[in-house]
Amino acid sequence: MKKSRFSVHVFAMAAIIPLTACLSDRDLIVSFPVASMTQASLPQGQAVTEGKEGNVKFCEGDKAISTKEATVGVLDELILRAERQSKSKFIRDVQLFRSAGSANCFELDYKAGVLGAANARPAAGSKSDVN
Amino acid sequence: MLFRWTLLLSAAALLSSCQSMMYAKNVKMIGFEDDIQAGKGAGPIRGEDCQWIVLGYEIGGRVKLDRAFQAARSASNVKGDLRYINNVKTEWDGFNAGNIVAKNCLVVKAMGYR
Repeated sequence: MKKSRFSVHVFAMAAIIPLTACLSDRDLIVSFPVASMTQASLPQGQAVTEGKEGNVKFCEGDKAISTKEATVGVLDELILRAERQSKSKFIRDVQLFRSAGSANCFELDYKAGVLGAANARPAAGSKSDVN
Repeated sequence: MLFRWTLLLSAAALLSSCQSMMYAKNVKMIGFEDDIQAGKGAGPIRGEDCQWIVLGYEIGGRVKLDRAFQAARSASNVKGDLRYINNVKTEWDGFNAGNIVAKNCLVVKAMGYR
């Protein structure tokens, strides 16, 4: 009797360990270097550098801030939330994930975009220092 | 009468709370490179990632959004890779011919810039 209980416990543990491993993994859907919901591009001579890291989440049924319509764009919503959270017009190192254990929840990891002057580009045909 | 109104109001409440999601509805800008300084327009672009299903058997892997974006970036009507895209929208496309052959595609549509 004791032996069979032990087997049940071992079996249960063996089943739980991979299950928790699956639940804790987020599924990366897509990533981009930079994105914005408010700006179409940058003026000449400007660049966006990386600021503070952040994370925003949106689940089906949550109140959307990007639209009042019934259809919500997941990227639209999360990029706008990230911009508001970080108080920036651009976000960098954008990574969209499906949340662990929930098919209808999405997360966005990002870094706040900091606007600054772009480094001067080398003129066309100029020699590079790298051999 | 009261029952009818309650039923109607409940149905309206249910419909108004019904929410559907898509990957991108109208994202202002997505950059493929760090340099997103205003560039030359390349016109409307389209990229897709598709999966065929023959007699219930799935051919190839699952449809992926990153592959659809990659296809949009190197769209055949554009010379060279795009640096960034504006007004980004995704939608599902495809067909099902009597459950014999089916095709599911995730399509990315946008305005491209080099």
